[in-house]
Amino acid sequence: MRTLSTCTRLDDPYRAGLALGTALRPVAPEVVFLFSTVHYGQPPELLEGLYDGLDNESVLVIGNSGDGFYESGEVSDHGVAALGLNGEGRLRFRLATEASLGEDPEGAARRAWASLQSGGEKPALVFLAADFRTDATRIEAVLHDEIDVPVVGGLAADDNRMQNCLVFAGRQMLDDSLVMLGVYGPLRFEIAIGNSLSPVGRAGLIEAAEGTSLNRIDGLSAADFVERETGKPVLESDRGIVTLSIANPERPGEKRLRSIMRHAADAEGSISLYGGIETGKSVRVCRAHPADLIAEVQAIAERATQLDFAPKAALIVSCVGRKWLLNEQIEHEVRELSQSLGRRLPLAGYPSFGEIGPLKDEWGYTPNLFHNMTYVLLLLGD
Amino acid sequence: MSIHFFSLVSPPPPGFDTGPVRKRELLSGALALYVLRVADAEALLPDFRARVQGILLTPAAQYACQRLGGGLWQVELPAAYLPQLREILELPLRLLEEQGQNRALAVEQTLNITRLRGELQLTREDYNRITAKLHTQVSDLVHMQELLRQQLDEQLRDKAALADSEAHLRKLADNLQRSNTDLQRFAYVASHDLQEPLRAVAGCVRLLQQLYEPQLDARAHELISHAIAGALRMQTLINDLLSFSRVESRGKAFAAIPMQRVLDAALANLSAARDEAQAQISQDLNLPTVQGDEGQLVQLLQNLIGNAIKYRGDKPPEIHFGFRDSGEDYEFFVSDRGIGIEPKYFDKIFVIFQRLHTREEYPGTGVGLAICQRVVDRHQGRLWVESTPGQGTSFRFTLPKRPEPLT
Repeated sequence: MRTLSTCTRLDDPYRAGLALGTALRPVAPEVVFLFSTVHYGQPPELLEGLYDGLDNESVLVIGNSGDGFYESGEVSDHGVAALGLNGEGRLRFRLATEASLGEDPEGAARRAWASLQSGGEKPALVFLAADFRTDATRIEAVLHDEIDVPVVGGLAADDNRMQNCLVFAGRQMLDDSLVMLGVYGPLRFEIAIGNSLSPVGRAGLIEAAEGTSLNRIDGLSAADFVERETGKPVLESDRGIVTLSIANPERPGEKRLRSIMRHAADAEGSISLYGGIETGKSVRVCRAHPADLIAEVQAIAERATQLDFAPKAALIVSCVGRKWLLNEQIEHEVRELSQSLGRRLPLAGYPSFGEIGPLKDEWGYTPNLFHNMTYVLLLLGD
Repeated sequence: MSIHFFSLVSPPPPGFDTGPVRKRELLSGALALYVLRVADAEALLPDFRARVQGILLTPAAQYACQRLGGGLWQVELPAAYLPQLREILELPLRLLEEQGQNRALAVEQTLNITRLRGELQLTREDYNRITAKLHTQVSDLVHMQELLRQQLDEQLRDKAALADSEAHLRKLADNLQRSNTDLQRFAYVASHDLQEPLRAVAGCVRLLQQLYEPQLDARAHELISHAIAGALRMQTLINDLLSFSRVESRGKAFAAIPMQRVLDAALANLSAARDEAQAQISQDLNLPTVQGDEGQLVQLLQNLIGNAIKYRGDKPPEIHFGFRDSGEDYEFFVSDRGIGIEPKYFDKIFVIFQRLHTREEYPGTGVGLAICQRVVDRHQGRLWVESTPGQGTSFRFTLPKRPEPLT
């Protein structure tokens, strides 16, 4: 496997794409993972420049916009990063794109998965990119129940205004869409999830919730419940800092997080979350501390040195809430990995509005889950 | 990035390419483009002036230079410059390329400022929200503080009034205690000291009857008999009053007393009355042991069972003595099937000298139940009656398992 990553902060979309494509051309990538900030909008000159730089029309491009980007040597609020990957004939790749995501998230996920299997072969791994303006819990239902291979990825993001986003599929720059990349063949990979926030206070039973709106917990409005547990009102700046942990009593290791969304608390005391949540589940409020997040990423990076294969590339999908909380320390999301491995690993990633990936427990990978406030690391090798 | 030299004019200046000028050449690095007219270059790309960085070279008789866009310049120059044009332009193009990178940084800074403005707005909204909440909480606290101050004032006033009331009550209690003590002393002394003159009066009257019997007529005998009977009744009254006063003045310290022993003693004292009335007396088994003054408890049961025998009606009395364990207390009862008591008299019967019947109907002084009440009071229990006229009566009393120490 040959891999290479690069990034640029050129503001002109064509120039930026061209710079990336030109930089990646030495590994003749078959697939490019592309993560940009949202200001490279339509027309899709970023992709035009990328293909012109690659000088290869057959390259598969998948990716989306994020609230900044991560690359091996850089973390930035603006610009674009790309990871090129050449399977050297041992791996095959297929791209599936589905529209109408907002209207029918389950159908879009189901059809994309069916498309990836249409050749009669099941992929070893799936990477997913999707518009954030949907109920990701409904995508998760399909990923969790119907797709029995690990799916890694997340929801696109913008510059934290929650207004717009881009999803990349080949030369197309899409919205309201979901894209899946199937990787076929003897791929070695490791998925690590960092979501160990500290619960505080008492557990509460969700009495009323609808989609991503959380209405009542323990006889209180959701906002009052959070205030009861944290001792202060729900604030805009609580995004990512105040998170709800959803426990699954049937599988204790399967913990999911839901972060409070911007413009959250309404007059009724409901709270909007970055993902759906179900009535009847038990939740606890979590408070995140930068030092804890960094320590967990350090532990994940340390484990990356003990794998039975040498990682040749990495993808990182990490919640915007973590970025909001870590602030200047956001570079740790990338730096720890390079420091542990002792080399500059080709890497690309982005701060997302929702992360996707299975957890790993003693039985292997759990079914695929949708997370918030989570750090998802995918290490690739051969 | 790189610099490019292209010409749309043939022949091109030395070092200039004539190949197709594609978007990738126009928008990578900086470009020197030799054209006859600016419009020829602008036709290559929409927004040419805004996006292309470089120098447009057009032939002219005189040298002139003007800026077309942010990173685009037009240079008009005579043909004489063409041989050295590439060398001349290399440095300016490098500078323009660098300027382009700086412009990208400027754009990034603008985006950063926009982002920071958004975050500042967010923080301002949080500030407003938390300030509004704090204002509400401070307002609530001020209101609560005022309420607390009012309540405190009221409590201080109440406390002062309570202190006055307590002092008044204490004074009344002291007076009452003194009166009780005086009364008990008086009752004891009076009853005790009355015994002797009364016995003397009765003895003298009897002697008078014996010595002067022949001289006395029937009327005199009747009067003497009434005098002797009155003296005996008074003696009984005095004895009962003495017993009543002794409940407090001669009470003994409490000890563990088996109630079976108390019952047996009371029944032994009542044996004559029981036999006369052919009373049937039953009891619960396993009577408990209680803390009390045995003599007073015997008197209590004797009075209650004696009443049950006395107020039996036409049939031989059926009496039962029982108990139940109510946790902190034992509750005892003496039940009969006698004449019963009207509910309106339930309180009156425990008042000393109060009687519901004439001496002719039922003899007595009206002290028995008052003694019972006093004995139960001294044992920190409660005495009450349950009765239905014509069907029977239950006198119930409680004795605490752990009475407070006697003062």
